[in-house]
Amino acid sequence: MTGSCQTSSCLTWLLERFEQWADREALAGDGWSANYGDLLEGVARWHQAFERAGIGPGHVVAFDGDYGVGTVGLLLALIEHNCIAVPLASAAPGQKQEFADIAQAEYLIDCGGPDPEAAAATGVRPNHVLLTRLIDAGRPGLVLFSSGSTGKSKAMLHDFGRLLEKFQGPAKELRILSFLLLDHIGGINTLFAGLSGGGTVVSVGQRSPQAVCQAIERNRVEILPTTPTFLNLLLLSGEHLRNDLSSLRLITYGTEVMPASTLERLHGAFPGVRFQQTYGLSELGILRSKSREDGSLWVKVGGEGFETKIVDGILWIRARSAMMGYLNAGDCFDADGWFNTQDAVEQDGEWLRFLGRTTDLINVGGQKVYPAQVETVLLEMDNVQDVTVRGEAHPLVGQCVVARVNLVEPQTPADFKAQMRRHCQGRLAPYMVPVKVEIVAGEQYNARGKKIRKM
Amino acid sequence: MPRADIVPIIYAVIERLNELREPDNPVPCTVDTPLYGPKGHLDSLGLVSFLLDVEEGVNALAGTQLVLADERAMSQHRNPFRDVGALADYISFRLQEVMA
Repeated sequence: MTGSCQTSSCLTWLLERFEQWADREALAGDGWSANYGDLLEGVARWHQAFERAGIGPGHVVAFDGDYGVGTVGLLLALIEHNCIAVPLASAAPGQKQEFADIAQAEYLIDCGGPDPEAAAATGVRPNHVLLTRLIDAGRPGLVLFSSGSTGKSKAMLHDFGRLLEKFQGPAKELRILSFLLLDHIGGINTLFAGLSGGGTVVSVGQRSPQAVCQAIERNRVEILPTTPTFLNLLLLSGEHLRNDLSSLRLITYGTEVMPASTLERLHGAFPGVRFQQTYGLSELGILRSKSREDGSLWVKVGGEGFETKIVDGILWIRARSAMMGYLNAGDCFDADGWFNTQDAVEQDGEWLRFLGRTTDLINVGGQKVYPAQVETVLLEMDNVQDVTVRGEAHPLVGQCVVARVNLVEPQTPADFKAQMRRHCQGRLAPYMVPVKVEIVAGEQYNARGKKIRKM
Repeated sequence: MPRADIVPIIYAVIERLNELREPDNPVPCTVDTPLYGPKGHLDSLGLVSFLLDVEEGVNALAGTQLVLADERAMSQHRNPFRDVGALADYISFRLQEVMA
């Protein structure tokens, strides 16, 4: 391949590594696995399919599919071809068309469909200024969508070459579970962290505690990147007691604040496993992070290519791997390229503790409440399985704190409320204690294992 | 719903509230007990919580969706939350409206 993306620097280094590891297991799922040789063949097949469909450098291609050789091969082929990849794996069926439109996709491919290598042309010609800038530069791109857990999904355009730079150094061979899909920055990070070191990326059909624990046992997974919400559900399910998880060495958690109570219980349940908080944003990439000590919520974040600063208690980051911008929202970087993460942090020298997102902040009569502060205290209650805290408009105090709770055993709302107030007394300031409680039966997290706070 | 049926609901909420207070400083269950305002036993946050509990009790019994802390209450000539009796009267008045 030749082209203006110094094609060789974008992906050739990785494909050359694949050739050396041809017989090693690259991808594994329930009842199937593929080695690096298979993956290289998969990439080659996609290049032929691109030729048949007329897909060339600079084309925007939206695709659906999970971690099979077909989808991973497609992603790699798109990067190698300097195309702009728009993965849609976990978008709701009704959102896929909308997302493809926002990304100005020229082709749609359904890797899980009846004709997985067929590309349907949409007739769209990309004219968004950021897309044309990337296309003109001859660089591969990636469009990711925010989960929209607090509002409308935003489309973020990345220079894929820049995202991949950090994987080019020496990497360890690891067996890692892909908890998040390819349309999430965490899923992309897991995939390339696994493949760049010649390790195995293990995928799960469902993200239930049972499916994840079975996959860990079956594939001797060493690293489980996940979310605090999932870990909480895992403890409740007891699946960790029913499966052999002795291969696990490291559990990383990100995307939301870890309740201290959950972390403490996790240490008890997984005595030999190290826990590490990761910090990343779809807009910036995943930063390196280091916990002050194992089990501490204090972390140092940064690493090569990332600069951090704290302004009025809010974390700002400048990243080399930052996205080019939103395709459906205004510019979000300041004149010097700093990004306001809207994550409120406490600072102790170089160590940070995440309090929550300022966008989730509840304002009770001028007093600030971070939902995570309240959730962590409510999760200490024996009968609380899961809880999501949010603010609700109130004519007396501006906003009041509302808790939506899943109970372990049935309890009347009045009894639960009385018990909750007793529990919160002395643990939370009075204005932080939920005044309204909704007891619900359904799940309170989205497909990415993240809490849904909007109504 | 007559006032006589509403007052016990308010007393039940006061009793729950007292479980969290120092035992030597309970809020008395009388119709004259000041709630919010001069000599009131509740601060604004306590009132929010108190009214939500009373609302739940009333709505469960009357099968209504009454909301007590709203613009309407704020714009009353006299504070409808000043004491237990005033609150019971205000609830009775609002229930008559919604059930009419």
